[in-house]
Amino acid sequence: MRWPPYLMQLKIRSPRHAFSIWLPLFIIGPIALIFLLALCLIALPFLLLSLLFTWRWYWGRYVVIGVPAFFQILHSLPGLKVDVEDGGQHIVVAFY
Amino acid sequence: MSENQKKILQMLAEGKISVDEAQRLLSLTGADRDTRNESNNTASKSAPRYLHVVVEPKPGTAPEHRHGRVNVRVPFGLIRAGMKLATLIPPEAADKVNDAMKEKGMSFDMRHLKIEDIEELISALHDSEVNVDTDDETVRVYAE
Repeated sequence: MRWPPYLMQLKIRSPRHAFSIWLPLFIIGPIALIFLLALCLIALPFLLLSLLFTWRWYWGRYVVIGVPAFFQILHSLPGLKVDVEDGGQHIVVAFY
Repeated sequence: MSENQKKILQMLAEGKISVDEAQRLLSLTGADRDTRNESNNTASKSAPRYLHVVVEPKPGTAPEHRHGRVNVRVPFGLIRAGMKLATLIPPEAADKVNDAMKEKGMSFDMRHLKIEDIEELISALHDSEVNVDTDDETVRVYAE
């Protein structure tokens, strides 16, 4: 089973600024999930109505299928690393 | 066969959706997952996990010709998941992408790109490596 990322590293360096942070996603993730669930509960009637009205044009189906695809992407993020350096600027984004 | 797959086939039988749409929806619900898993299991246990793209300027390159340094590592799982999301691109948007690619000399229809094609590409990458060596920089694309 693949788990969502538990840490995110963000490093930005320019001639004027330098910024580096490790985001503990294992703490932020559950909090965000609770907020998302609460938001979904509130928006559920509107969401269902919009799905119903757009079902004919496939948009509703896209939403239904898109949500699992989004979570699959989230769970595939660990290991992703982007490290770009040009001139005096350096950006690192990594998920662990 | 899952409930969703049955529904899709039922909609196809009732004529509510076309064959192409059914194929797209089935690929999203993982109808092809079983066959893909079977082929994966037999293919190799040491399948590559990451795609690396490394661009490095050559030492001694003049500063005006010096390009940036790039080191990108993408999990293949992310590429597979992204492919599933790509099938959600509306046909109108896909047409625009195809036109833009055609303008750049790449005659390619992204609507025909399937997850199986990506699997083939990934398995082919396992044995190969792309090296581009210019005067200013070296580019390496490889799987690990």
